[in-house]
This record gives sequence, C-alpha cells and structure tokens, in this order.
Amino acid sequence: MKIKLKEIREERKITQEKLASLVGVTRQTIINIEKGKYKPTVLLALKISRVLNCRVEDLFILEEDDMG
Amino acid sequence: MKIFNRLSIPIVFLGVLLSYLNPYLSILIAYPIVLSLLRRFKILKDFDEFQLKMESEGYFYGFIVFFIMAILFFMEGKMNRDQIMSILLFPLLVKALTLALSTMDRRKGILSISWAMCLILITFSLLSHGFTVEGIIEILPPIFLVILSYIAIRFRFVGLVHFGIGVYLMNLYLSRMKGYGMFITMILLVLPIFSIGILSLREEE
Repeated sequence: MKIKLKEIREERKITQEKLASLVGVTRQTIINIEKGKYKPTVLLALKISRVLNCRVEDLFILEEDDMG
Repeated sequence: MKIFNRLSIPIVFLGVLLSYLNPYLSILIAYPIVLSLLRRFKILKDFDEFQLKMESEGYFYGFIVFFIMAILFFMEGKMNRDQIMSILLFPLLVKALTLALSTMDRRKGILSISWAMCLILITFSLLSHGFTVEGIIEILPPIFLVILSYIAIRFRFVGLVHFGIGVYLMNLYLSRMKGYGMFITMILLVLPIFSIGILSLREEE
C-alpha cells in the first residue's frame, strides 16, 4: 500500500502535531501511519481524510501486491 | 488521564515492596492490568487505537516471557507439576476461548468449546478417581454438557440454560471456595459455559 499522507498533509501545511490533535490521536500514531508501520482503522482513515479534505483513496493507495 | 499510566511503575514497585509486609498487598502489581481492562472496556480513554494495538502486542510478548519463566521455574524445581500445569493451561484456555468467540462460526465454536471442556473434565476425573463409580459419576456432567451443546446448536434459546448453569455454578463455587481454587474453577467451568451460552444465543447473519 502506498501512503500519501505525508505529501497531502504537507501540501495542506498541517503539522503532524496539529493533525494528531484534530483527529484525536498522538503524534507518534501519525508518524507510524506515514512511515507505513501502522495501518489505521477505517474510522481513523475517514477522520484524517475529512480533516485533510480529500478522499481516503488519495491517502492510501492499494497496490497489486496488496491483493495477495 | 496520562497520570494513570505514569503511576504504573511507582505503584508496581510499591506493590513489590509492600508484598514483604503482607502478601495481599501484592495485588498492587496488578495495577497496569486493571488500567488495560479499563481501556479495553472504553472506560479509560487515554490511549488511541495505535497505542491500544501496541499495548496488546506488549501483552503478547509478555505472555511468551511468562511461559518461558514458568517453564524455567518448573525445571529448577521451584514449582510442582500441578502448579505449573495450572499456570500454563489456564491462560491458554482463556486465549482459546477468546479466539473461539471471535473467529469461529456459531456451530464450530460451540462444539469446540464443549468437546474441549468435556475432555479436560473427564481427564481430571479419571486421573483423580480412576475407573471407579465416583469417577464415572463425575464424567456424567461433562457428557451432559456436550449433549446440551448439540441441542443448543439446533435451538438458540438453549443458550439460556447454559447461562443458568453458569450462574448456578458461579454461585455454588463462590460460596464454597476462595482464592486460587475458586479462580481456577471459574476459568475451567464457568467461563467456557458462559462462552457456549453467548455463542448459542448469537444470531448469525
């Protein structure tokens, strides 16, 4: 899965800290999502997409390998 | 809210120290587990989903360390066979029940728990009484439980009978036993019966 969270967040000029507080998680959680170490729940993904004003599919892009 | 988490180490440390004065004060060591339970039931909301996942992962590795420690204790003669078997088997039983409740379909879950419980109870009876009249009488309730579970697969409401038996046994053993013995009985008897009851009443989509 390709994660575009960092790019989109930086485009919107929102810091990790700010995004974390807006969606109710810690900054460490956002860091781990951006690094691809943690896959968020659908609920958190939806919250992030709403705050960043984009679609979930723009943030997390499914790749062929992910289909197993 | 974060204060609860920060207090974990001092309280555990205090529990270790105070246990020298009174063994019952060692209950303070359970403080982090109480916190985790409160988080699990969403009473305490100081962790986000990633932290909760990492906490579960921490328990997984903790569980492995616990097993290795227990086996080493046994090998060094610090625990007898009964103690070691209880300590190793009961956490495994709880893990198996959790998996059965969350991943198996109704029929498979009910049958797996019933047969596992029946075989464990029959083994205990035969080991303690052998093929005597007393031993044979003791194996009748687990067989009855398996039969009841087969009926529960067909008729959902039979799950209420399981709950009734669970409540009856809980009441019986809470009044007659205490401490370690009572806890083991609850895990070995009452918890699986309640689990069968839950699975039986569960409606499958």
